[in-house]
Amino acid sequence: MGRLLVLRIPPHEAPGRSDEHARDSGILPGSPDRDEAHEDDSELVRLLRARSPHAGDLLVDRCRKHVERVLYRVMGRTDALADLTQDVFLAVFEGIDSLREDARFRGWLTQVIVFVARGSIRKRRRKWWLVFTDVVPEQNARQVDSETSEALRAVYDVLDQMDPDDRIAFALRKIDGMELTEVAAACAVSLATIKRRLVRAEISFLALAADRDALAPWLEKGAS
Amino acid sequence: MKTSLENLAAKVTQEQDVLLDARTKDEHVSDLAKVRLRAAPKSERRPNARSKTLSKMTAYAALAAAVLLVVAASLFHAKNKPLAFRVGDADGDVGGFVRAPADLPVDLRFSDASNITLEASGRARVVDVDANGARVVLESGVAHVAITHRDASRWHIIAGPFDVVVTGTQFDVAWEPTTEQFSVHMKQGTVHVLGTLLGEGHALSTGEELDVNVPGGVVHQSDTRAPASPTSLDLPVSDMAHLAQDGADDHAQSRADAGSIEAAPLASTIAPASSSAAGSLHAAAVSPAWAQLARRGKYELAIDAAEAAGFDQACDGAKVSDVLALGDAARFTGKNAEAREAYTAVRARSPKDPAAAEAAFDLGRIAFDRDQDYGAAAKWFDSYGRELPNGPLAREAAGRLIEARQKYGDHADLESAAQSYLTKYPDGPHADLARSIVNP
Repeated sequence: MGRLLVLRIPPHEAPGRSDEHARDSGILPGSPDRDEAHEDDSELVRLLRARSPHAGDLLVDRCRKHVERVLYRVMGRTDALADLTQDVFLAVFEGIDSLREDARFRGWLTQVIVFVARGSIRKRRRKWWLVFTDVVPEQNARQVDSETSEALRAVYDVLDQMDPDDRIAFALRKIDGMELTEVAAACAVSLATIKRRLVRAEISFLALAADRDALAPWLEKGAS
Repeated sequence: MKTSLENLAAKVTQEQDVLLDARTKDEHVSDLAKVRLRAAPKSERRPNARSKTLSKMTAYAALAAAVLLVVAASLFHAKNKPLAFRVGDADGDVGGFVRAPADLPVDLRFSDASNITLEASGRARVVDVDANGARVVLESGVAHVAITHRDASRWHIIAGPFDVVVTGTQFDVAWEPTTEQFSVHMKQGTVHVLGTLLGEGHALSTGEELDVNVPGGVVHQSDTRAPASPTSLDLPVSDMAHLAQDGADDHAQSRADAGSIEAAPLASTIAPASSSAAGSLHAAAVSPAWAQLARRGKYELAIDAAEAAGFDQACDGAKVSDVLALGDAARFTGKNAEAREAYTAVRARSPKDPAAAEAAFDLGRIAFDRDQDYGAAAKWFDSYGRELPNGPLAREAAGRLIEARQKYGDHADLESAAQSYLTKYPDGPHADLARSIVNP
């Protein structure tokens, strides 16, 4: 266990360790994946396939923010973020041999994230009877005012009521700002299907949001 | 100018970014350690001996407690736990409507190992389930029933005005609502059949058959094990199936779309390479893989295959009956959005086709059963009634229209729906409900 807790990656093997490089590699919030990241990803994939002891550190260092960001967009909560992030990385470790083209690692990773998120959403739906508290329990009160906090909570309350596939498409496109092609690839469906899904999701969201007082000011503001 | 939704989404993005960035360094370090621990190969996850022993003891204690708890709870609840059931590959819904595809049967499998196979094009509803059995309404078609005998088992198979009371047996039952022809063929055990023209009821045992023609007032009971007599109907089960379906399933015909080619089983849709021009035509009409999977009851696989091929292209380009089958597969697997998409595509593509009315009925079911959107459900059931007033689902649609309007609180139109139902179907399954509305 200890070996993996120690970062042994020489600087030339870990270009994504600095925030600056990570941002350029498209793994920070709000920045889309870029082609220049793929060469580095190939090295990461090589280490993962070789089950290198360095692979875990490199994967975590380089992809954690991307994984957390996408998970957060879809799930809307940070309390389960660490567990889901772990699930994603485990899935990457276990499924890396199914990746056909190293250059597509980032897209494949996003598919894995979506897969894990969808599973979590469905599991929560199946276990709704175990939930005794609000399903979106926390927003960081130190950082966000109460009005905004309520709105965030309401957005994910609404998303919780939507079909999981629609919800995921909506979150990736509308909240994360992914391109349509990226959303389609992440959800492993065609572009046309994702367009239809988004139309449905938007209609559904607006219909459900209409009953939410916390969202009314935001929707009204935007309409002006 | 940004739309309101874009503004809201942008706000969410902005605030989430703040929160993500605000996660403390400690949180990151802690999470990172957990990630690395779990990501480590199993051989590297070696806790020390003491903690390992403690963990084992704790785990065994917890396991033992859990087992005791589960056993106690099971003993306490087992007696009253309602049976669960599955329709094909999907979990069944009490009250949900089951319709077998035009060319394949559907199995209703219950948790006590009882099984009801609904023949192709058959329609049924499991209206009630408890610990000892279920009430299953056979709306039309043929059902092969195999009930596991238990001391307290009590099953009812209701077909039109008939009630087959079962405690554990195997039999075939057929009901054709348009001709009001009812048949039971006993394979094993005994049943008691109650209903119109049957007085105190008829007891049937192994090998016996009962045929009732309601309009003609004809009741015929025979023993297929006895030598054939001139008065015995002596119909084999396969003939019963034809009897039940002959002239009844214009709905099934519409699903078959381009004739029998498309609705044929998979094996018969594959023409040999050396076949004639007719064979080539036959091959050209073969349904896509997802449609064949859907018709074989492989609903999850059908949806996956359709998604892989492009769900929307499937809805836009495939034959209408295939799209209906796809909608059914989506509905059976709980993919309501996809089901709606398929059914809506059917209606958009063939608004005057009976399939459009069927799609309306299915949309009504989703709205009613899954979305609890009773206003929309009423609209769809009403659409079916207007578009296909004599269709095979007309009575069901009329009945569910009453239910939907009642739940929606549409009192203005509720009474007219109830009155209309009573006029058309005075003995229908919703007649009592309709009467309670007309004469409260």
